[in-house]
Amino acid sequence: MPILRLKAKKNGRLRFLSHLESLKMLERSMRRAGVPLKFSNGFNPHPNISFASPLPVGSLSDYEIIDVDVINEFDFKEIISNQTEYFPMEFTLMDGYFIENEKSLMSQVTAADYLVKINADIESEDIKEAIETFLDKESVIIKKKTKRGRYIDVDIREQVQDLIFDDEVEMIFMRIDTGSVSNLKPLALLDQIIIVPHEKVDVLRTKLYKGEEGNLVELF
Amino acid sequence: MNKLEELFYKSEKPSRYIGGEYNSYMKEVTEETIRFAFAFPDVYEVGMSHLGLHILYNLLNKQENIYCERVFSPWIDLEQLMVENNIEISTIETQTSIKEMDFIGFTLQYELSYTNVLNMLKLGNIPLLSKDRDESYPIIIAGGSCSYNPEPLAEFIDLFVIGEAEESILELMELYKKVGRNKEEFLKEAIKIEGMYVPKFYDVAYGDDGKIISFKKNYDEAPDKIGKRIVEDFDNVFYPEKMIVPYMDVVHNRTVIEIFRGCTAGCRFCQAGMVYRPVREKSVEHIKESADILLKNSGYSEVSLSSLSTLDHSNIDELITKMIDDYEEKRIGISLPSLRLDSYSVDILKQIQKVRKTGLTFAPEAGTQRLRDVINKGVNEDNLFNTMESIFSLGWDRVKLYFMIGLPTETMEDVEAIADIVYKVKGIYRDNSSRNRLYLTISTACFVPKPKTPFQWERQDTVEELKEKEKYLNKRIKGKAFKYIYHDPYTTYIEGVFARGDRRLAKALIRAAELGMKFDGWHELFNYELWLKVFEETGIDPEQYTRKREYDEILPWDHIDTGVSKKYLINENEKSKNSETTNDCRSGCTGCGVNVSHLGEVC
Repeated sequence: MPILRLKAKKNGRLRFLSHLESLKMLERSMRRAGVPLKFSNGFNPHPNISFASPLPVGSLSDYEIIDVDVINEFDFKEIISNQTEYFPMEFTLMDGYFIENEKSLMSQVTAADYLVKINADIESEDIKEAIETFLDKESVIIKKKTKRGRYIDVDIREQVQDLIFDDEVEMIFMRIDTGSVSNLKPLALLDQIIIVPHEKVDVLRTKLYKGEEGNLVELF
Repeated sequence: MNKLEELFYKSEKPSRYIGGEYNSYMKEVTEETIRFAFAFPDVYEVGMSHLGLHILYNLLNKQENIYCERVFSPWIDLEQLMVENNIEISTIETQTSIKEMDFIGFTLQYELSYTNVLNMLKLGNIPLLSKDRDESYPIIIAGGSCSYNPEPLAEFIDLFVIGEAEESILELMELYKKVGRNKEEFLKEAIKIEGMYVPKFYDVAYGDDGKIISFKKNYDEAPDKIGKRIVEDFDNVFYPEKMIVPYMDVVHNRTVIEIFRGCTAGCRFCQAGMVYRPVREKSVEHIKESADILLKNSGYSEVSLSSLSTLDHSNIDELITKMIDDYEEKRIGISLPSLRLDSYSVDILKQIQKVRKTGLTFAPEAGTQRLRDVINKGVNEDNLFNTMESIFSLGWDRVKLYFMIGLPTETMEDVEAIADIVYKVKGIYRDNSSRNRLYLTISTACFVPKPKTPFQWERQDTVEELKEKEKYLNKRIKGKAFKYIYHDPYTTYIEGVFARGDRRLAKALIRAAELGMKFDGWHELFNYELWLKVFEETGIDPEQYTRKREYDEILPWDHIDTGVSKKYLINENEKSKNSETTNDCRSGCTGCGVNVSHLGEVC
């Protein structure tokens, strides 16, 4: 069965949706658009829709990658051009293509790019200095709660691939480990750089990558 | 994030507050726009599951120059943040303070939401009392099933819309376009529209014994009785083609079609069954057409066929067959809010389960035949046990049985009989199911005598009596196949006070608002001790409201006319005392009076 892979933007108020709410929103939008969804078997049949990497509540994204199991290939370009009829206004489909069975999107992701804007009253110079201080450290250990409820030590310095203050846009650019093997959340990193209340921060995801032979390759 | 959104972010469930949902309206606001806030005095997920909201929201927004927005009670975490940051309660759509509206329209679905009504006004910096609000404030109106006894809120609400609002709300808006923001003149003109009750045009006097001695109008033009409005041509009444699709999980995540209004069964405890008469059906064609459009415009995978007794629609079989034929492929489920205990229900269920097998709910209501006859619930043990036999042999394991305790004339014998039924049902499962996975939920609600029903004169069980009955059942219904859910008798008591309350309760509500009381329907926030203290401080004897009343007493809600005559209600109450039943009115008119008052013909 074919899989429809989509790239989309999630803006505005949709940043407040949880991962599950985003999935529900997508399912309903696709039903409205008449997408030939493939349903699971069993008592309560449900469609199979998945995001490459769940976005934390509060974050925006220019780069959401979604896989949808469908019964057959169809003209999804029509859906993209008429999407305002089917999707909430702050969700924008950018592009898509069909693929055949491959391993799950989520297991492929290894890294992500984010732009982080601080809306609190903090000088750019202070942010830059804080970034330098962080980068100068050899390791930054934080306690992380596992799924089983235990706490383990994680060195997040190792999970940071790139970190720089972009003067032009006055935002922090982060490239950090993302995915099932090693995962760092942008705000968890920010907490170790500088203290800002999270509601004063805009986080925008701009890219997702998979690792191929040691190189980062854009997911879409 | 703006200031308010920053608070959303800090709250437990931000998706309650953000708006912008699919099918919500974003309209341009001009000088001519009438701004209407539809206010549901509970949290978003409860309010968004209420059909009336979807109907009126779409009806009003279809009109040019009217913008209807929604406002809900913020949950306590957000409320606290709003108060700390001096932010007023605002509409979901445009985040406009409700004080800026022309109208705030509260829907009153349960008495325990009254404190939330006041709290919402408070959060909007709007004076609670109608007399303290001048032209600079919105006109505050209310409707919904609790407005059949509007009196506990009479001091706060400027105008009540009695009965079905699909037509009358538009007449009211037309009037506002003409009169403008002149509150006094608006109210004086509004009472010329049928179904409009303006409490301040009436005075109530009380005797030394606490009973009402007179209810008189103080403005000549005011009607003596306020008749409820009904939509006569229900098949063609406005029904939305789209409903807002929430982002968060709400109580009912599905679309809804109202297939008929009213009920013919005549259960004596049921307020809805008495006040929504007469029965008016929609045709199969219209229902199916509506369902198709709503499903297409929502993306939901379930449609609920709503009414007071869905399987009583005259063409329900044809309707369900049509729907299943069409929806099975698309995996769209059909849900029925209530099922009858008969073989007909079983046949329908067989069809419905093709798409999705859900749990089943049945309501025998009482344990003994005597008591079921008292309340005129037309069900006998054979109906119940035969239905159970069929559904268990069809493979169902999950069943919910719904009973009431505290019904008039009830004795412990009736309560014991509930437990007997439960064990008998377990036996039926053993004999008829090939599996061993019975999950039987037994729920008992505490009966509250409601205005405009044959039991409106009856005494309400005390907290102690109800506790005793629940304690007994809790002890008897034990085992891994059972789950016994019972209602909190303390909340029932307060509900009963307000259900049959009068204007004097305003003092208690004001005091409760001062003390920050709200969300009384939420177990974790309800505070019985504090309520007793409030009554004591405001000189109110709650027993005054839960006591037995005499037929010749002036009842606080006597001036509201549902079309069902008091004579009929008295007759029904008398019959109940002899366990005498009244037939379903489809098999012959029972003379309730609604056909005379509203239709002028046989219904």
